Amino acid sequence: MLRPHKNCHQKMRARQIDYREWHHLFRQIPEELVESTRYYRHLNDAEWSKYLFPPSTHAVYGNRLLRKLKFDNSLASLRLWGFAMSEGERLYRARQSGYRVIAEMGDLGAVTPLVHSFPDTISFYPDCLWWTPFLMESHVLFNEAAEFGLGEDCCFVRAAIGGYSKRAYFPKPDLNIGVTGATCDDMAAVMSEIALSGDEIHWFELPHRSEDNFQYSKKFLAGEHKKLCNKMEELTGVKFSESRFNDVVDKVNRLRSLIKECKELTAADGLNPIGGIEMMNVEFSALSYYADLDECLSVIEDFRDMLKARVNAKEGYTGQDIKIIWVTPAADPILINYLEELGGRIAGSEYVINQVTSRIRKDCSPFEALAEAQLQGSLMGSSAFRAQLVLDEIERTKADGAIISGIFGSSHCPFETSIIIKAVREKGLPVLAFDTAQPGKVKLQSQIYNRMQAFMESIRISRSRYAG
Amino acid sequence: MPGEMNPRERWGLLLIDEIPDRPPVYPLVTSHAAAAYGCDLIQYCTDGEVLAEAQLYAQRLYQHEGLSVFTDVGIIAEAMGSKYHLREYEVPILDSPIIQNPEAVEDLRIPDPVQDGRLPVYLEAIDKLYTAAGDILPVFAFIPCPFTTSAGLRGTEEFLISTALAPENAHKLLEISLQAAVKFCDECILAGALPVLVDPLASGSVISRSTFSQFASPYTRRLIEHLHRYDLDIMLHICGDTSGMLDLIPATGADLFSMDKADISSAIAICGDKIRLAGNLPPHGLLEVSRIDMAQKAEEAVEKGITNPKGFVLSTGCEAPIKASPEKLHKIIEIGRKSHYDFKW
Amino acid sequence: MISNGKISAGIDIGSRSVKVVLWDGLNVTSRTIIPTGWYPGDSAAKAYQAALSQAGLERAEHILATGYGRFKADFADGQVTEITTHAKGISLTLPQARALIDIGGQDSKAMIIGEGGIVRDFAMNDRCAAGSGKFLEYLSSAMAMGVEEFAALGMESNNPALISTVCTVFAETEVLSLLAEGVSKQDAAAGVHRAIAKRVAQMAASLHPPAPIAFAGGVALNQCMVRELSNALGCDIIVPEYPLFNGALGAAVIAFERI
Repeated sequence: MLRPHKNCHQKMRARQIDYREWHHLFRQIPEELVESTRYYRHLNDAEWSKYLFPPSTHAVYGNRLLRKLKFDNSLASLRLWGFAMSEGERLYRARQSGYRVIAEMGDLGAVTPLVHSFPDTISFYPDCLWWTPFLMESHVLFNEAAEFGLGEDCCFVRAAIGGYSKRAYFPKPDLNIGVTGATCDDMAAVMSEIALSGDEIHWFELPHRSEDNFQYSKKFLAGEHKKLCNKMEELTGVKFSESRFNDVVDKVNRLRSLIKECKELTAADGLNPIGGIEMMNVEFSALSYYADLDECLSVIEDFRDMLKARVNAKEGYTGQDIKIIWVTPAADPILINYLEELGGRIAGSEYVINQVTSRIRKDCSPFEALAEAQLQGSLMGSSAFRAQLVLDEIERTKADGAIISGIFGSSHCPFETSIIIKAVREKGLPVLAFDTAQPGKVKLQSQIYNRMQAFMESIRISRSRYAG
Repeated sequence: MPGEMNPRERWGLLLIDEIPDRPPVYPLVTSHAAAAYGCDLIQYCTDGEVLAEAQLYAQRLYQHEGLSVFTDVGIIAEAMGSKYHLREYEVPILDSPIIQNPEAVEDLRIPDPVQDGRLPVYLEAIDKLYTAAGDILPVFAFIPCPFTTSAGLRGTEEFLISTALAPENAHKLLEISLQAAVKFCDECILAGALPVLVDPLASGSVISRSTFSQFASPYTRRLIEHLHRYDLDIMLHICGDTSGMLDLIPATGADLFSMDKADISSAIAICGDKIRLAGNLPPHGLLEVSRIDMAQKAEEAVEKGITNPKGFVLSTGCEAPIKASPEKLHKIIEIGRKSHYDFKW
Repeated sequence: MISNGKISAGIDIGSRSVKVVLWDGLNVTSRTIIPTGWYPGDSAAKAYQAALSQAGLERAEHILATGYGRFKADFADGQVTEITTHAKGISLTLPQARALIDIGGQDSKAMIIGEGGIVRDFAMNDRCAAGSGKFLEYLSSAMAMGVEEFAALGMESNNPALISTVCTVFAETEVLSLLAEGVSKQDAAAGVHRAIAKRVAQMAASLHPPAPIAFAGGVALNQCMVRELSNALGCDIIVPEYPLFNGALGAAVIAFERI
């Protein structure tokens, strides 16, 4: 695989910079590098496939939050940002290039390996449109969702129905997969509305998980994967191939282990080697590989190399010395910057995507293997399981505290939050929980900042007292 | 209305070679916004907040699909030292160019967009517009191309003569004008606007094909190359008659050509496979006194324009006149809004 | 901590008033308060200058700002949240306190205090007016009286009315309906205090606050609220001598540590 950036490592101290500085720095990147950093490489450098562009490019097209965020200054991070931000366009380019585009909803990454094992097929997550209103600092998609009766009492994933209704955020999917059951209730409500509006959905039932009925759940789930496989065969006219599937699983396992490595490096002692938003982008690449698995692998590998080099060289950001576990992804990424500004670093996370962190087995039937991985899902089963995931992260990273960024209206947040808070407190660690404010609610956002600052102050004062 | 695309979404699809529900409707409502808003042009050209307020007011009034930050084509030349005469009810005009003799080119310096001339007016207006409505409406900053700026630095006649008699000097001037444009474009981008390049002096009504190819197009192309490096989709607007140079337009690298006096069907035939087109309702037809049937013109433009394989934007051939009739503007916008592509999702 | 002839300043810029405390390492040398007004930064500067002239000083060695408007005091040497400063303040005036409740103009907070005024844990209600001084102001003005009169009226009641809603807007309607139904003004006023107290106590309960619990902030001057909060928490609460200045005092003490 082409790794053009290898010869062009920026000799700069690791730090966080704003979109303005990236805009000017970008001019120093050699033209050949920009030219050769492309997605869908097998299409022989299609005119539109470049993606190494700075945040200012995406800001001009309406992603207004980018003007306020802080970005890591490495080339690998720029590549990651460019790759993630170009996903929307990539879906259209995929369609223009004759690919099938599959929408996967509600399972967060568990069915993707199966979908990608069919030729010329890519997938994406309409659920992830929940970031769009925050990136654009806009209520457009939420207002659209409100037309369907999904208002502020529903999780931010309601933006997905806006995407379907507006028809301007992704091409019409060739297939909509709706995973429902023991997962997010709000997304289930969103999917129901999508179905009612006329977009056909292939329903995939996620059973409840408990230790008593694990084998039953696994068998049931394997059956759901089989049904989905049949649907994909019907759609593509191509028979499921175990060897193609195994090829994809090899790559997916490689991606998952790269992400794991990045997470380990992020928690390393010494200076904080990377920003929390970049790491969130890395972790979320496990969902649908930003619609290009091969390029995604290259992007994350590059990122891992950069992280490794920094950790080995004991390089990182200064002044971010309080290790925090972030629980539930931040719908508004600026909250992560706030934490960093206050001297915190995200050393670990529980982003409700535990189902895409373990290796997919290759020594059993594909459907069983997928079922088994999926049964590790963060949102399945008891909240105590998720609380334990948080405690494991605390243990792994030797964190100083945990932050839970909930979502007002989300069905699982209110239940889980109190259980996680209790579990973390029992470990003797401070924990802060808040509901993320809607885009543009400056007052609420400043209140969150206030709480975060108080939280960080209390950790810092306790720490200095004990040290003293 | 639920499901209806907004301008940002519509333009967004167009820029990635997708067909939106209908072409964006974007007449060049620039100085006319001042008249609609009720301020004079001196205020409009010198106060970014007024410019932004006027643009927002006009957009709410007409519902066209983009915000335009444009005062006059002398904006960069003025920041480099040329004197422009600001007038209450007409656009600024060149009073005295900074370069009075050919050697003076050496003394020119690239202006600082944050403090020189009226460049900060643009930046303030862009920032305000982007902050107020950038999620729904694209903000376009109209930047004069190096050829037009050079004329503002040297005086139009002197500059055109120099292209024939002292081409080296003309190139020097063009080079520094290019650097000034690059720097200004960067600041406009950072403030939130997509640059639109305007080159009224490069019109076929003013210069020959060869002057265009030797002096205008290369610098415009380099400016566009700089912007393309950032993956920005660039609209080029040339006033006047460009029918004789349509084949030369794609060489500038522009992604969208905003055309004035040329036939849309001919443009599609000549360069429609390479470039998106915007145009080209006759601006003077928007005057109250005009007898041109603008509704018919708009219908014809849409009918022809939507056949362009690279996409089409219904626009005016040049700026809507300051004293454009609001009723006529409403009418052409209404016709544009009723048009539709064969959009299937 | 010892006095070394130096002076620190704590400036608490709240939503209603700016409070300034000057501290010499052992004693408060000056205390001033002025309304926050439209320009918190200007008011902070004014209150600080007033405190200096009261103490006959020209400047303080270190100035820390706290409260919601803390970033507006551009002359301060640093900013600290009111959570940290309140904990610090109470550790000086009521060192026996293990938990603290602060009801301010626009929010309320509860915190668990460790040795030396360290915040062990905290909870805040800052999303709506219910549970804050604003709620009291709003409802007392709905009954056409000032907050002091409203509190005094509440103290006369032995049977506070039940206010079922916690939303400020609906509460007004509910109080007016109660009055229309013949409930006495005294019982209605006490009911409003009880509604806030219950809400704050509920928030504090999530932290399992150990006794003794202190109560600070402007609302702690309100005797009816002290009574109702004590009832709602099911224990006695202790109030420092200058509850309004608690945050500013904490800020001044932390500032002194930084000299």
